[in-house]
Amino acid sequence: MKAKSPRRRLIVLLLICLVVVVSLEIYFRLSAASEQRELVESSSASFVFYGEAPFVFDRRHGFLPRPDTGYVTGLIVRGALVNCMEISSQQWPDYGPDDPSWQGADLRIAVFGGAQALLRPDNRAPSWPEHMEDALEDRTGSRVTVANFSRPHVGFVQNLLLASEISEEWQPHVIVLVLETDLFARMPVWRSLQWIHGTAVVVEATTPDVASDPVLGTVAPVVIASAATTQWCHSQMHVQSVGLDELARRDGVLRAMVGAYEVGRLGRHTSLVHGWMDFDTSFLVTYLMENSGAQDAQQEDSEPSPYRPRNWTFEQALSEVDLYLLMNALIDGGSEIVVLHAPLFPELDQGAFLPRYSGLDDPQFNSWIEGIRDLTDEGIVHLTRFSHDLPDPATVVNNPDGDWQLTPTGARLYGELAAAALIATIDDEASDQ
Amino acid sequence: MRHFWNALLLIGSLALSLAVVEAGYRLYLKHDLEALVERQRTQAERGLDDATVDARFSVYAPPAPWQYNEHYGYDYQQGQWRFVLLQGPNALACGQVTGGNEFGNVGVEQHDYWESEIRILFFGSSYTQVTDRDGRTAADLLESGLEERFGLSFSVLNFSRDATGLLTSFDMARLLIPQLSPDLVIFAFNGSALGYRRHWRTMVPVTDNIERLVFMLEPLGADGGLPPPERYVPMPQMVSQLVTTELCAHLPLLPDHPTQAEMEQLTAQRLPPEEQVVVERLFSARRQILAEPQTPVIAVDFGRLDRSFVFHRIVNGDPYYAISILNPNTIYSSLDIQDYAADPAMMEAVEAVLESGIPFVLLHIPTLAEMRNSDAGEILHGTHGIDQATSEGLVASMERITGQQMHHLYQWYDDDEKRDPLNLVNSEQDSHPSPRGTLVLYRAILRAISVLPETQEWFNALENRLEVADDPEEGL
Repeated sequence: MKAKSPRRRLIVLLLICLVVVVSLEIYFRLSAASEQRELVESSSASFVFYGEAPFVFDRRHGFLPRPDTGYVTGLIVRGALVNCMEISSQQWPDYGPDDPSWQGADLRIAVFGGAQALLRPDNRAPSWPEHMEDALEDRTGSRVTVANFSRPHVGFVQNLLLASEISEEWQPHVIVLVLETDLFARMPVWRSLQWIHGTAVVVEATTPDVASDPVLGTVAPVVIASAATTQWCHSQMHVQSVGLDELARRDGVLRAMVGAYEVGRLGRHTSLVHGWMDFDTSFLVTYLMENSGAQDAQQEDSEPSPYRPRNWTFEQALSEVDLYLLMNALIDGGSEIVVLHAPLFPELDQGAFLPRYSGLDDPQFNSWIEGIRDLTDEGIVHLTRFSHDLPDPATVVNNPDGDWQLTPTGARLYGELAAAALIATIDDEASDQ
Repeated sequence: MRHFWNALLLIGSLALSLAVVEAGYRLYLKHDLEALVERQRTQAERGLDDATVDARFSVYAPPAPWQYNEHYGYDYQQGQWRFVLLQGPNALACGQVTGGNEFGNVGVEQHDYWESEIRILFFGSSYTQVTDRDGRTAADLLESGLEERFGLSFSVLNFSRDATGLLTSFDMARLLIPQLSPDLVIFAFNGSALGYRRHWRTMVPVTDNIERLVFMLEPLGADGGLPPPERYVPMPQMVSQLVTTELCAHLPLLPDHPTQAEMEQLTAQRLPPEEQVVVERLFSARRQILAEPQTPVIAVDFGRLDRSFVFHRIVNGDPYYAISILNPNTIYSSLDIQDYAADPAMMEAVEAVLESGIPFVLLHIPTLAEMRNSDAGEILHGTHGIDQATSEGLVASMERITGQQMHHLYQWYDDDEKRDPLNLVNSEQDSHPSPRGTLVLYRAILRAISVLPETQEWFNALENRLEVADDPEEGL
């Protein structure tokens, strides 16, 4: 046999190389990875990210925070990191009902609210329920402990469901159900994590089945990525500060988060690439459909999921949940119930409960207010009634023109107003004791 | 058999081809990232906004204010520091400030250290370099306060170094305690000092007669050379032989401690053409420096064998999928260890300090957030640019290896002053002590060393000397 020359062997090897490169490129072009890359590079989405999941799915209550968890969080806008911060702990009680600090208190208060009651201004300053605790201690001279069971984006009914279960074990003297205007009419929501190659998107739905069937839900603007650490944030902010924005956007951790969110928004909840060896023509069909605009048309035509989180009317809530039974159980348990309206900034400014921020029409809004009044003896206690000497509005919230998150001054104000609002209830409780 | 060998050859060729493709792709990616950085650098240089270019900046006359020290990073240059103040391509004024002293510290020592009856070494950072309204640091105030209380001569040497932490201070203490035989050693730092890496400072040339400051994560090499590029960070501060007495002869002289109003009144000065050329050269060097990234920014291991960049490009659309391409190991990032015991040099330094038998205290200076949120005096881990686990681990390990507690000074702050924490710091964003804060900090340090068990014996001995002095008969 005639031996092949080294030159010929080299040419064959180069040809094979070329075939490999071309094959891989064709595969890439036809695969969904190419689509995913496009999605990342054209992303206009904004979402919050966490280095670790701050909550766990809970079949009974939708989701529950993890009080022992510290994590990095930040905001990504249009594919770029905007800010980062480290949260050292969450407010959800990290002790049980038998803890001496709870049992030994003269007055035990359990607060069930939303984001406004949960968030600490600047991540460090006390939240308004913490200020309320201090203010009540000052005013009453009693030892007061507030357990804050607030969760972001939950409505009145979901809080009532949690309160009815927790109160049995915790036996608070006072239960504060906080109404935040933009959220109080929200249906109960379940949140589950859907992992896409080490990065998770948060899927929300009004059914617990979302945990096993994520297609039932919608993707919340929240992404979990364990690679998003404090150090990663520092290096991102550093390269941006020296003008290397494009390099920052090229980072694999950032792109994985953006990709996961964009893929989640497409409603697939799994990687576009469902097994890299499974090349089949469906990729080609998908590719052609999406490049011909067929998918956009398909998305526009599709019906929104019936399990999409939304508001409901009081009557709808009543038909699904026996609110009177729940409320009576709370009252029979010996707790004083206070439904407290914590105003949004314009409501504080105008001293009124403004329906336009509730997402409900006026009859629906009024029906909720009447319904809640009927549920409780006391009706709704409005913080705005106690706000006689308001500080400069600009010091109460981050930005009166849009960012209504409370500042440290605002949280202190709300805490003091809440304490004033509760005093009558506490006096009743004290006289009972 | 022939088919077998042919198949084997084909498979081998394919495998080799894949390896070649992977290697080629890695080379391409490396070049692509470097080109991207270079392209953006150029854009950054062009896009330097007017505000940055027009900002005021100083250029020092030689010698540089920082003097390389191979043992613990740097000292401050002894003598006066002369500088010219510029704004854009214009000169505003010249100035002269009191620089380092014979110990390499900032400021003037009020007393002769060796003649003093009681000698204290004080280690800190920029938090303990700031002064009260009379230009006195917390260490200066402590010296006066102790003298007033005990009627003895005290000398407190303030070895505070900006941008340094506990690692550097223990390196210093290890070297200086045997040399200076102090009676007491005080370490006083804010939270971020827990995580500071060691760094060394030296000057490198920009042009023939302009140098710039460089921070290094390791000492100069045996040949005096810089460490590898990823281990040093060029800084914008400049020193130049072009800053001469001839140049300053044409410019107003700034007072020692200019007021805000005096600074605002400064305007661009008309200079003779030969001096204006000098100023424009300094400005040009400044522009060049500002346009450079201050630290190596890329950190991708293109030689790693546990990952295929081709694979991730094909499967996930991104060769760097889920890995960071940015350098996390900058001088600004905190330590990546959670235990000082993992640092052999630190362990040696702590052992040396313990063996010296000199009493020492570890004091924690509160930031604004801590003043607002921790009345009881707890360190708010995770709020100083160091992640919570690292911060907690470092405090715990510091207490373990030294056998001493790290004390939060806020518990000794005056109650009246606690009502307005913002008054005690520079601003919401800057927790360095304000002039008022420096005074309150000093009082807290004095209270701390009078009650802490670590210093109790030392303090009681001073009290006893005071009693003996008050009662001459007992002294006899």
